[in-house]
Amino acid sequence: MVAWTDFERATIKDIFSKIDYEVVGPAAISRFLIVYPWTQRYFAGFGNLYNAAVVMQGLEKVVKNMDNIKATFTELSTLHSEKLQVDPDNFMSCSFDCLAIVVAAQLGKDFTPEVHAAFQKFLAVVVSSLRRQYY
Amino acid sequence: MSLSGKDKAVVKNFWAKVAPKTAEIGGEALGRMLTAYPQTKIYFSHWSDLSPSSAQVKKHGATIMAAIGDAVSKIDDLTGSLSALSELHAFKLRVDPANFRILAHNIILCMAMFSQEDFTPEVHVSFDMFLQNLSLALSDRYR
Repeated sequence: MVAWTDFERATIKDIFSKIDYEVVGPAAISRFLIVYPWTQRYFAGFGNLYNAAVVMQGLEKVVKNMDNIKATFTELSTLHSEKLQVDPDNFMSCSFDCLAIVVAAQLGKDFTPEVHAAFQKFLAVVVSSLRRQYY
Repeated sequence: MSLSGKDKAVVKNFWAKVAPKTAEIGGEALGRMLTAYPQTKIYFSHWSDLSPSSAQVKKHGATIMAAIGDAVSKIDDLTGSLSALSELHAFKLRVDPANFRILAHNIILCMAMFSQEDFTPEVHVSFDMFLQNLSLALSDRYR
């Protein structure tokens, strides 16, 4: 069980209410496909980047279930490990770092160091849950 | 992942554009690293204030960016030009080199915040490679 402070809960909900999924999702994915080109190996079957909004919706599910993130992500973790076979080291170092960068650029001054820290903790929990079903 | 001639040109060009803001970006990046990655605070326990608004943090962030700017001007020989700093980090400061990546990420994040239009994915990839090569040069003297 992750212990979230009131500030962290409010901040995560606030971030997700402010960002535009249709913009942030595709922007983050297309950025990391360029910056870390080896990740392209996983996206041959992903279809158009409009599917990137699907990733944001997955994250939004977590925002609604912040006290039960492990269970929320069991299926997705299995998907990423067994079907998509994504190297889990990529989760934070490639995709979520780029997501943080795109969110920071969108929110500007609102993305204060304290907000950034809360978002970083959130992403670390998401990564840990996505890794859970790997061997 | 070595820097091509094109990467070097992109980095120099981008650095020239952000030059007026680099000191501020450095202070922001360091402050964010200490706040969002609290395990890095151990290296700064001699400071009285580790918050993002701390004068010590801002000053040191500017110092770091000045050194990075110097590295940009000597981009053809990062290992040679960073040798003294590498020895400092290895033998005196004893910073685990895994942390260089963390600061690099925060610098990149601040670059994206401070110069949104200029920090395109194409600039981002060259700059990310530059910071990786810089981190490698900074680790060169460790063992």
